[in-house]
Amino acid sequence: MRNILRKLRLEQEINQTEMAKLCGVSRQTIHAIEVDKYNPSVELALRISHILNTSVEDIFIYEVSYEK
Amino acid sequence: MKNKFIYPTKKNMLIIWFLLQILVGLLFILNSFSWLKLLSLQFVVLGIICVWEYKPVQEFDERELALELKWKNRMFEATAYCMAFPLMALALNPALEGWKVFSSFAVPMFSTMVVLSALMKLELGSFFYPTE
Repeated sequence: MRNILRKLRLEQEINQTEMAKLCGVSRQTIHAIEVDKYNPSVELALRISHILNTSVEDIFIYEVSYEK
Repeated sequence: MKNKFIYPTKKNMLIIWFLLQILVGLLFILNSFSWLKLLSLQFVVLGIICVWEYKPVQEFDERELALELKWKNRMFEATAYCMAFPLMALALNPALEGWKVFSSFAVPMFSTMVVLSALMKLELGSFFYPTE
């Protein structure tokens, strides 16, 4: 799963610290999500989408890979 | 209830480091000085600072909690082995002096805790608590 959180956050001129405060998590967690090191819980993903005024699917892109 | 947790900020860590240096100095006043002893005591001092909890568990977010659980589990497993080996040694040879066998595992146990704590903080993304 990849995401465009960084892009959307910068578009709305919110820095990582502010984003973290709004989401109720640490700044490191926001960074970890942005660099695809951590997949947030459904609740956090919904909170992020609410803050950025968009849908979860627009931020987090699930790439399906079917192994044959 | 007021939170009595002392956060590992840079300032707090420096204070503790100075206090522990006084303790090290006192140990040298009471005992003889040797460079090896100084080195090992400095390792203990840095180790104590290293195992200092980043913040109370209640304040961890979901990612930090998951990491804490992962690393604490590893720490527990490693230290459990450090306890199991002397127990096995005592079971095989009951004539051994228990305190000697257990104390020989104190250094690896403490070293493991220090290394794993440092790795946990590395993965958490911060060694010092950011605000006062």
